[in-house]
Amino acid sequence: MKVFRIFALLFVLALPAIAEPYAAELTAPWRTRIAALSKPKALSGTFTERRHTPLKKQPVVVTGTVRIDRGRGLSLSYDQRHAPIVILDERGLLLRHADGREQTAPPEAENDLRLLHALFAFDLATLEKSYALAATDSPDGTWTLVFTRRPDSPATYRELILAGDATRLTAITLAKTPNLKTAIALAPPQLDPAFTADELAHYFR
Amino acid sequence: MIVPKSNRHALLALLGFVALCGAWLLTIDPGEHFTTDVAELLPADERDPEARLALSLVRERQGRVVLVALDAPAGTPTAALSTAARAHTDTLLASHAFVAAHPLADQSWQHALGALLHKRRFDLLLPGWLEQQRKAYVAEATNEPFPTWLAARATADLDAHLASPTGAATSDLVASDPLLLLVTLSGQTAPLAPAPGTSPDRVLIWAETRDGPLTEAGQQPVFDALAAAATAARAHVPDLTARFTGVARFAAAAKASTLGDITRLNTLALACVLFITVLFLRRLHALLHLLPVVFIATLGAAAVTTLIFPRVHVLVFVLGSLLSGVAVDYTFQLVLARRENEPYAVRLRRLAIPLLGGAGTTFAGFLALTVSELPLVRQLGVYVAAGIVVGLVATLLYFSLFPRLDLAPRRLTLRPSLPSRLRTPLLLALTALAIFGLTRLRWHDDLRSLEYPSPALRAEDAALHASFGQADTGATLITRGSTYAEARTRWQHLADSVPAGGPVTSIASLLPSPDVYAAATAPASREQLAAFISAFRAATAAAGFEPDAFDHFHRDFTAYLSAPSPTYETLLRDTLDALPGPLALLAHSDADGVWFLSTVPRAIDVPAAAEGTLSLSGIEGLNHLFARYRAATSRLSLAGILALVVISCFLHGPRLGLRTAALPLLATGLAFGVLALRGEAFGLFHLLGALLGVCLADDYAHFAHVDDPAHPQGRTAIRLSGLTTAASFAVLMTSAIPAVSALGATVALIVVLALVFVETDLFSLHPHA
Repeated sequence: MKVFRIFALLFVLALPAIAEPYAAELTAPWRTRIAALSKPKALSGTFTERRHTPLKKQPVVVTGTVRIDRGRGLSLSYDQRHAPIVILDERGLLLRHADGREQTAPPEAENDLRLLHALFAFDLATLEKSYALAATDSPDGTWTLVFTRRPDSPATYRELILAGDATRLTAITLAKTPNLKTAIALAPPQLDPAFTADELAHYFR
Repeated sequence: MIVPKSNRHALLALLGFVALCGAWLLTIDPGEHFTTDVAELLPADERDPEARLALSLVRERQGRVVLVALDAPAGTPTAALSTAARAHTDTLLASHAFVAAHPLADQSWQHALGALLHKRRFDLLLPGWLEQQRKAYVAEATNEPFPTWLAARATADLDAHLASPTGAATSDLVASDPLLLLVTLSGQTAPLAPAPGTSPDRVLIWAETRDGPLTEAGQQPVFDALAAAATAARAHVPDLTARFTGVARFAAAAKASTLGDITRLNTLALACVLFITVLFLRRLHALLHLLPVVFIATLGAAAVTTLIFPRVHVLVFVLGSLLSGVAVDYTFQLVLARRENEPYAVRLRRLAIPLLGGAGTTFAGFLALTVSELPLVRQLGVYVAAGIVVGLVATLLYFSLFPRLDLAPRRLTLRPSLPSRLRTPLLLALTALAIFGLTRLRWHDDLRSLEYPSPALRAEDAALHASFGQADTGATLITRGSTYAEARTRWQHLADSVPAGGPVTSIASLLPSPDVYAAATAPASREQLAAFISAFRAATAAAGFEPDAFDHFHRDFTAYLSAPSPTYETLLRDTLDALPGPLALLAHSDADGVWFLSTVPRAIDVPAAAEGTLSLSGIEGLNHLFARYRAATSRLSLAGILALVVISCFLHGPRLGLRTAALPLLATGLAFGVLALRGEAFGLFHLLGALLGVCLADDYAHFAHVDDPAHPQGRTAIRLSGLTTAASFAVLMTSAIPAVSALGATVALIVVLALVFVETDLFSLHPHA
């Protein structure tokens, strides 16, 4: 009977670890923060993207608008002329060109895209399989979540970083190597905008 | 017993013939001499280019592809399924029946294509890029030297690409390809091999057999290897289901089914012949005398046919099973017409004209078919013509050994005869009915009517192809030329002339056209490119690129400019020979020339400007050929019928000769009319059936001339011949092969009608008339 009680106690203690991803890394306040971040059903805002490449001395800077609809995924429309709309959803990546052509990502990119989708959707359970997490709070109220690739993961992104302040997500960094990375700065977004049917059809699939 | 000398000669002749034919047939290799391949029903030197190409597709590597799907139970760990797939492909490759086997998920051949294109990017892709830049340079009408202008433009394009959404994903590639030759190809290469649908519980394997699917080595060893591979895979996932499809599977199924059909039809036909004979004859043991004649006729026909044709389609033997019905006709006519105390030689003289008339017209009719361009028709013509001659001679020689043989026909005194006054009105009415029916005649030529139907296999094949992402919509086009240059030029005409919305996907799009390649490799171009490389280095440095960012590119480009360019034919041959996996099937070259396959997303009519391009719509697309063969066979049949009329008139004089010939012609016309009124669609095999029916009906018309009421056994012979033949062909109606069934129905109906005409003496052919 005593043995049974010990097992029962161990089971109860282990329950949160089974139920919650990153149980050891994320305390209750963090979970509250993440829940708040993922609460809006939709959002829309501008962004500035800095692409660091070993080819160039300075990063390439592009701007655009990000739209997120929790049911449909993420959409990036760049300000450059003729740039395709980038749609990332549960089905993967789609580039929708101005002339109506649609281009999907090659099959070998599927794993990375699934993980990126998980990052934007705050799907911690999926991320946990491939990335270790370090969560940091700063005294000034800013925070970072640094996802570092696990040694056995097939992901090509070595590091994914989410940064924010008390109320919102302010930056996302996707790094393959120290000098091959994309840093996206997000302006304060409009929460739960009402996308029209045309916008949904144009920016999502 | 002392055998007369003449009989000894007959016996020796028969035994010698059997020995010769038997020896010949025993020496031939059945695998080499006999075929079940539908494709071999068409001439190997078919002049229709579409047919020639369609056949070569089956015979070449396309026909050797086997698609395999491994389905695991839901929830099977991915690692276990991957291991099972690897065990499957390893077993296939170890079997020597396969030369390639790739799980599609590993994408290894796609990477191999990427590596190939990257390695030869300056030979293959630079010419087209350079051509585009030249056009832009001319359009801009600038005074800047071309190399400097080109360097500035290439740098601007590179900057724009890096700022595009896809820029971040291609950084690694851009270092060695700053001209973006490969980056811009991604949209073109992806459709070349359709992406299979993904499922966590399924692995798809693309495999290629060592031998062609129509050979023995390309069938059973392949199936054995697949079975062993499935067993090896199940060691890792016990409940794994393995399905596969390929031309070999259809070919093997068709062979097995056709051989089964031959055995069943021949056995059933022989049983019917014996049963009907028993009804007419009392001395049953005497029926054993039929067997040697049928055997010798069939043996002789098979020997002559295989002697003349190096490869014979087994369908000839299915259709040739009718010989068992025809060969016994002469026996019945010869033996049943026996009269007491009449010497054998006298009996022969009495029956010479009907025997020669009947056999002669049949022989002439089928001989006419031997000039057909369709191998099956030619082979059938030889088989039946040889069988008729051998059967007649064998009958005469064999029964000379038994001159007193009496089959003891049962007495049947029924001799229906139509009153003379009714004959002409009835003839006119039947002729009118036949003509009316013939006006409703509808031709439908379908090559699939020659195939043994296998709906289950077809359904599985369609499902597997769908799993591999190969939709049945759209069209496949084939562009051919005598050289790579001609084929590529013609493909360009196709790409430039297809209607809007129908992009052409082909490996040819990755190859430079001959004129563009010549321009890019001209000495002047090379000088400009050498100047460009320095200007590009300066332009990229000015645009903020790292000094060593494109070292890889500069090294490769310098090596390209310093080496002599391969000739166009060498470049394309080497490139296409190195294509990996399924991509290797998209182009082909041999002594006859070169072709490229293309696909368009929807069915189109090939534009008139696209010379050398044909649309391939599967085996159904060859139906127009069948219509041509049928038209040619119609002309031959008419020649055969003309020969029949001439022979009848020659033997019996014009009046009786024409009446004699009219009987089979009306029986055939009426049979066609009745079938047409029933709504039956006619094809080549109805026509062959009609020709055979005319010849058989003509036999009965000739025998009617010697139908003496004083000797009723003559009528018994006609009835027995007619009914046994009708039964033989009615048996063919049960064949699952539509063509064989159609032939059986046509002949059986003609023979029954002819028998009715003889019985009622509609054409006043009997001596008493």
